[in-house]
Amino acid sequence: MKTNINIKNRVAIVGAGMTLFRRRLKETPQELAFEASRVALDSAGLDVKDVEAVVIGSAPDAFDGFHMKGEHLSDGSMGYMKPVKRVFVGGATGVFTAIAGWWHIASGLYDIVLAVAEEKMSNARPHPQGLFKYIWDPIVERPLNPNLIWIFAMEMHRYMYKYNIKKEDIALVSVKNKRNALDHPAAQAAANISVDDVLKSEVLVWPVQRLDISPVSEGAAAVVLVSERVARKITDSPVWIEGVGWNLDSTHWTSRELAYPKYLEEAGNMAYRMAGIENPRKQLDFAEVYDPFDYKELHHMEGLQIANKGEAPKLTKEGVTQRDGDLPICPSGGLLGVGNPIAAAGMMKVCELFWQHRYEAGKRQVRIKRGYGLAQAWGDLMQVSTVVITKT
Amino acid sequence: MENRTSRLLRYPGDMEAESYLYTVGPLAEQFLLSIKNEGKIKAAYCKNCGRLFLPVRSFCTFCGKEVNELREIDQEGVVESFSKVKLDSFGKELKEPFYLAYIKFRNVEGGLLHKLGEVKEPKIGMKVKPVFKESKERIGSLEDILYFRPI
Repeated sequence: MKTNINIKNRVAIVGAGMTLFRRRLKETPQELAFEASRVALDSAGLDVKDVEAVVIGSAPDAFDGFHMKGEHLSDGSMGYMKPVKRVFVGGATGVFTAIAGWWHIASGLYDIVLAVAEEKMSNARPHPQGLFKYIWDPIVERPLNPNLIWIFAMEMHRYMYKYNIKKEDIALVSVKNKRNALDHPAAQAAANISVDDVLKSEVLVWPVQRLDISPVSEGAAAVVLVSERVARKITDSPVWIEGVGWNLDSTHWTSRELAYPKYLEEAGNMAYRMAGIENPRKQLDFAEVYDPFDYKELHHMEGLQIANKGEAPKLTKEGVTQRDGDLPICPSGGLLGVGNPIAAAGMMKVCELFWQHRYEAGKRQVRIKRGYGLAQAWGDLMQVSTVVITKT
Repeated sequence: MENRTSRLLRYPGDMEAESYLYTVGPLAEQFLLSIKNEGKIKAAYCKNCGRLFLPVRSFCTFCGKEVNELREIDQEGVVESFSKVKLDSFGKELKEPFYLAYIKFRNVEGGLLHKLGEVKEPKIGMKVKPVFKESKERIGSLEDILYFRPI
């Protein structure tokens, strides 16, 4: 049953675009944002003068190396002389940028909004992972000098321990997503690999190995959002945003449940209620679940109640999450295969919703039977999840 | 009364990357190379709306189209505004105060931030032109321009 919320405008995605995802690109951050924006507008048949407001998403300023990165990106994002706002929730930013675009229109303020996400990861030296040093509490965590991979290794270990999950079952996610990405024209890390390749890859921080992780990438992605009034005029195939949700766990890493992302369950429930989804496993056609690490796809499938706790590996093993399975997960190839330019990676997932619903995904196309798709991202201090649900 | 904060423990820290290597962009690279190789300031040209603009970038801020062309412009600039800088960003007095200026060019949207030189009393509206380093010392940077001087 749909929740009765006060929304002035129903919102549709009518255009999507992205750049190549690569380790290094020759364009500036503004130019990457521009390329994705231009492609998205062209695909919607709209121009810069039609855009009423712009929402920009980008992760920490330190990545691109510009403070006020949203403002820095605004010219490239078609924001000149328009209301522009940047949103930022770490890794979850890409999906949250679409959510912010949604509320710009759902509130009745605007009819046509461009939502753009960008990340330039090659500027910072010697390695962008070093910048994550500064997300830790300076008193109780930073003295130990942790980085994200160390911490996720512990989360992965706890998840494996609690539900008795084997590394070879987790590796299946990496195998699937990298293979799916072979059909994505913008992909950086597409490959035909085996479970054995994953298990034999370099151990970074046990149990995390090289092929369990998405690559360092840069790139941009954008969608054009419009009100129902405009959508009916300019397209025969709008992709409706039916639900949005987000939620945060405790600020303190040591105050969280590691084996199960309860905050994602809350974010999912917010979006499911709005969309009128009672059984996600039965009602969703496909989901672009956030997969910076292979175990995170499984973790997130469970938080989204697509699988019971500890049972996402079973669905994966049975082939349910393959592109031709009953509930394809990451048909795009995900972050593991397409790449992980933080904010742009989440927006790439929203773009995939658009292409899949419209049967424009080429070889990546899944069957749309029941009508619903979902994109999710995760980030901030590793305690936020953001969810968008779409419908044909 | 005793200053209480002085008794609290502090934890030392820092916060930045070790360094950055910024991407210049394909068209801005041509802009810097024409300063280096030709001793000329060029502007980006949008063939969709016909505007010339600075700083150079490979898209048009005004009409939202791709831009991939530089054009020669009149090297004579006009001082749109200026100020006399006496202190640095940390409040330290400069040994040699200097004039900082926003310089615009004929028929060009936007402009450049640079220094003024060989001038006693600058004026807004004053005509200036760039003074470049010797060509063998130029590296493809805005610093290849020493300053702008009155015409």
